[in-house]
Amino acid sequence: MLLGVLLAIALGLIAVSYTGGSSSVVRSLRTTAGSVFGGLERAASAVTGSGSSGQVAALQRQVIQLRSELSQARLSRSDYAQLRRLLQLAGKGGYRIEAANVIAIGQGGQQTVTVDAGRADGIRPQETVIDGQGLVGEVISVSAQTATVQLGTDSGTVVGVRLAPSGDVGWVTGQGPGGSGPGLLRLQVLNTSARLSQGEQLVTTASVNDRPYVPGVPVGVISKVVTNGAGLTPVALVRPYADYATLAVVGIVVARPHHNPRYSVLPPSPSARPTPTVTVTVTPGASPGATPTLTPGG
Amino acid sequence: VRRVILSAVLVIIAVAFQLTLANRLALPGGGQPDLVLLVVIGLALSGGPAAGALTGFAAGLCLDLAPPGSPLLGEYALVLCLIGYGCGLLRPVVGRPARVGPVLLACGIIAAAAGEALAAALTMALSPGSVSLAAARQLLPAAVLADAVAGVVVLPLVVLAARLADGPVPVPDAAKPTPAAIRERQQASAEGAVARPGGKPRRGPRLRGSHVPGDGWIGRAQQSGAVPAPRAPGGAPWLRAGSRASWIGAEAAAAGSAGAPRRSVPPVRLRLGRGRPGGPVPPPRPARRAALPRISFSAASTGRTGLGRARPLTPSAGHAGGLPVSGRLRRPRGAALRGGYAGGSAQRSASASGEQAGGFAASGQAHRTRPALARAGRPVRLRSRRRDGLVGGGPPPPGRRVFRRPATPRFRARLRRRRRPGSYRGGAVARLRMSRRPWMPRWVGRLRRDRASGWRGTRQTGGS
Repeated sequence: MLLGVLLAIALGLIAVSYTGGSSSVVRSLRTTAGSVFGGLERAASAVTGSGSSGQVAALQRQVIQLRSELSQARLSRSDYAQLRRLLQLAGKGGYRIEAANVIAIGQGGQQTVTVDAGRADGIRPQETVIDGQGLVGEVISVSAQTATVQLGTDSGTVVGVRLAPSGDVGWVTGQGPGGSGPGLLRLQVLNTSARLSQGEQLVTTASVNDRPYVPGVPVGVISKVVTNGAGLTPVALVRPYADYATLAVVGIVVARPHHNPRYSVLPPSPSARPTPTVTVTVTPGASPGATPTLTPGG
Repeated sequence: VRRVILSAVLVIIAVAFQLTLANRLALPGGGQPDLVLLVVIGLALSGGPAAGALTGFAAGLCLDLAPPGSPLLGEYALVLCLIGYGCGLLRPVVGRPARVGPVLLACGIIAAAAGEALAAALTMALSPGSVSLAAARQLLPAAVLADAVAGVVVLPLVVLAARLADGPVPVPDAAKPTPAAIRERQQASAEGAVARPGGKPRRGPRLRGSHVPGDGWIGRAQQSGAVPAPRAPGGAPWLRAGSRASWIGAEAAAAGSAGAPRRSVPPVRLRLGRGRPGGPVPPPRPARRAALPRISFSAASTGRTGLGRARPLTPSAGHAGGLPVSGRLRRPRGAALRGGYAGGSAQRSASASGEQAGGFAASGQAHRTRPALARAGRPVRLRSRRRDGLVGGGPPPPGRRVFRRPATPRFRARLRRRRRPGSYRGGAVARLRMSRRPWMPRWVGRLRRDRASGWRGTRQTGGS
């Protein structure tokens, strides 16, 4: 009897959130729970030491004022390194970011995390989330003190991208937990005649009004080409720049850049770098004691 | 109440640590321990199906709501509710109070595996594409393994905490049998109370009005009460919910000694339902009816009682079961007792006339030693729904076929409909449960009062 009632409630909730995801009851429930559990998670996260929520607020002030004072903040070394990289990336792209800590990680199939910055920090839904290496995801919901970020690896995420050298346009989708190759994204390119090659880099293209994704954020690098050309949509697997396993400090882009940074934020491409080839030239008529000339080429 | 607080605290801690810590763990294989699932399993194994279902539902809802939350509200509530209910059903396996040991761990790990599988299946069914089948097949064993490892630590802690919250089991008689108690028990056993074959004294089973303190009970005499006087045979049993001093199935040993000096009356071993394999003696099958044995007590007469009217102390209605007042059986008026034993002395009665009736009526009468309280005069009819067994019956008569399958007896106490307007709501149905519901606060019981008779019994038999 009791079980029946409870099951009916659970199924009803599922049905309500399945059909109209933005029902007011569900939303208010979520908002309330978000403020309650968000605080709890902030506290628990501070206790478990995986993040340093209190310090980030102080840090943000310092970041705005004086970047050099960062080192004085009592950040853990890795958090500091991540934050520094984040600021470098944001500086290169001209993004204005709000730094935040990841305080909770979603349960089950969907790939979401909670960060400790919310509406009070000026975060709004559909904003881009980056870390020191590249694109992390998109803000999908915001409570007063926390925000929920849908990661790029979630199967519901679709990001419009541009390939770095060729300029081909396509999109990447996440593959959920434990897809083919852990943490890889799936790239599809619009241009059927495009030739994909391993090592090509991807940046985000501008979304409409730069929401949810601002342009120019590094996404990843092609690690494996699945199908290529021949009338089919070229498909490749992409290794994201962001390390989803050790997310700690992320930045939420609260203001879009004034101009499209295009490829300027990308790390130096391994393929674009000139590979030194060694040419050994031996002149037949030279004296035996002559040293061979090394000529770097390529 | 302590149990509710404990459950709430454990669940909230589990949810917080699950989202902040456990999901962050990068274990080989990609599995992450599900602390919430383990806590729900532990609480359900020591709390029963209803508590388990409720705890699971609440925990799942917390997990759904807490940021980042799940896209579909109610997903985990559904899974954990089912798992909690299932684990509650497993409670007899782990014992009560739950024993920490390999059985508990095995139950917990099996349940955890079932929970992970259910969650994965539900995710795949509700949001197709978010988890591929291959990924689930790859992640599931890792998750179960992580659960097993974490469960070794978490489950015993939860179960021990639940045991602490429940407090000591209040059965002094069974726990420390005095020589007198043993003698009485032996006598009771001879009178028809069920003895456990192993001879190990166990907790006396009681059908007890549980959540309302004034409730009467079945199967156990009041500790401080006088030995009730026997009454003339033939009366129908009174089962009264809420009257302080009525009971059914009181001490059988007190039978022949109505004038005996007052003493604390040890519990009668009452049995409801069938025994478990290897457990106590199973009840006999009724002779005539192919149906499962049923018990119903009906009030003897409604005319004699009135709502709220305190009645003088009359032994008008004696025990059902306790006192072997008479060897005679009688079908009470109204819905008679059919096909079941009532009363500790039913064994003796059985030979008299019970078999013709396909069972036995109560062998004694409900007894009232005090004016009933506010709920006086509510005749309650106890009716089994199905698969009911003995109330205070004896070992099966020789040559009878016995059931080996365990069954959960369910009782229903039904208020007898009365014509008098305004007296109370007639026809309300109250459930009798075999399990205690310790998590239910007392005021809930009060709310349910007008539905009368939250009778409940504990499991198992005792005796030595």
